[in-house]
Amino acid sequence: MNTSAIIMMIISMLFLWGGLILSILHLMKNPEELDEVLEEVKDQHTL
Amino acid sequence: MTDSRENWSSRSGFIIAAVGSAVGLGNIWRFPYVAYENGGGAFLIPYLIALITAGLPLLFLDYAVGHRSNSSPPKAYRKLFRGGETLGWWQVSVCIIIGLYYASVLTWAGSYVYFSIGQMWGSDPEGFFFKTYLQTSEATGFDPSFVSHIFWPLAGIWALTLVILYGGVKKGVELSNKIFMPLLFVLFTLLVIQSLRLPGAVDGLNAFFTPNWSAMMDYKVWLAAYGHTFFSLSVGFGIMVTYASYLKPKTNLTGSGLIVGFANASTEILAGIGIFAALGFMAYSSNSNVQDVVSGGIGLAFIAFPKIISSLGAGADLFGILFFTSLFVAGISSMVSILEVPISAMMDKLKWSRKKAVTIVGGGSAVVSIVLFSSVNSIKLVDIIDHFINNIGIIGGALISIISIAWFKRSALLEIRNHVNAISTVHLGKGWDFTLTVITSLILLVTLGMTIFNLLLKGYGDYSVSLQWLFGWGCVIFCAVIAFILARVKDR
Repeated sequence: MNTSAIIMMIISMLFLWGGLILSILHLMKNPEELDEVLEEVKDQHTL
Repeated sequence: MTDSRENWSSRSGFIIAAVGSAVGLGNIWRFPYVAYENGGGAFLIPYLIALITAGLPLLFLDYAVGHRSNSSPPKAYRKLFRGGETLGWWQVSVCIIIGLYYASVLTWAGSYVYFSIGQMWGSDPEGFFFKTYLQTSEATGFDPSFVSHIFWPLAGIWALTLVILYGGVKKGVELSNKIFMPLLFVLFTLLVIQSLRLPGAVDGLNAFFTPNWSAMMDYKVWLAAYGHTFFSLSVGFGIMVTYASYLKPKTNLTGSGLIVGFANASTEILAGIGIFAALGFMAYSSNSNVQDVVSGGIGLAFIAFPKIISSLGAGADLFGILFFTSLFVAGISSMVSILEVPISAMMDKLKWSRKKAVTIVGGGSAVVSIVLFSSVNSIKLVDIIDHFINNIGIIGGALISIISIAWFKRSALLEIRNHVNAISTVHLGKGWDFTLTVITSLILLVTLGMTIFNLLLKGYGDYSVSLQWLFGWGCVIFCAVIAFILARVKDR
């Protein structure tokens, strides 16, 4: 492959696949809140 | 939120379904060709910019509109601005029309999995596709002749889609995507590895990635980049609004959206590598240049790829099965998401049960689709309807939704932003407002204006005026009429 093609391939892979990996890591660091627990607590307060 | 509204089992269930919707036939057969035609490696820069400045912002908007209202598009937009319900029904109608012909293309992909065994297209893939398989009519108008070997597989595709939809959000849409998406990943990765091992693959990659920097000065390249981003992410026609409406109240919308956006774009790059490696082999085996064999869409899938498969010798069957099964799997998850939009809308509007909505909306669509696309006109109808409904239906719907909110209802835009920021980890600022208000709106406006102008002036393709009006403009008018009528029907 020529140099410019290799550079563009690496840039696009780093940006997109890197972005995907970072997004997954970011979401893993911010786990889903347990809505059911929150709603139960809310219901108890309402009652 | 109504107590009976379905929801995803988890955030990951939503993400995998949203990725399943976004990753479709276009990722595999459209992106590589669009990228090559618009500057190769240089196209990747406008593409990445379009993703950041338009694709992701619009994806976040769709998520927020659906999640905030817990409703399908008509109700969701009605809650946002006056006349919004008409826009919502326009998007629903667009999805119904897309579902009709998308099933047809899926049928072709599914049938070609079988045809790959022993390469039943022989030495003339083009003649096989148009004449032997589709039995394309030579008539310039509509020919009602019927093709029985398309009827049954098409009916089978509809049956599969409806079974998934009967299963509901968790046990149907989510479960099917949890099977289809890992399967697609494995199949497609194997296909790309196989392609890269072929002689001439490097020439294909050179053609795909070598930048033509002068292309970046051409406004059409930028329009192509933004246009492709809209089509690829399934934004602007109600799917993401509907999917987000099934999320639980506290869901990280932007965090989830980033994964969907990047997963979709990552698949496109992978597709570019796989497709161009295979095209490089095709050029090598026919002693020609890559630019002489490049194609996209239906031509790539059903003519160029069969030629490539036939040249492979040993391993040809496996390569064909991998390619067409990947196409089929990518398409079926998108098909389910497209049909979920009208089903969800009718459940919201008329308080129908899922069973009733799937039977009436899905079953009705199936009947129309099977009648129209089992005929000898299928290729013409797919081409005409796809062009009009994508370029006017989707772009028009996206444009009206953005302008209505970002230009004429600034308070709603602020409310949406606050809603997203209250539950998401990646916060939206004024930059998001700016991309929607200026960049996305203007690009969509220019694109739509140019499309309508060209269609009115030159028409589309070599099709007869009557066919273009009946199935092209006819579909656009149908969407408008249905939207207008349904928006005036009272809720139950």
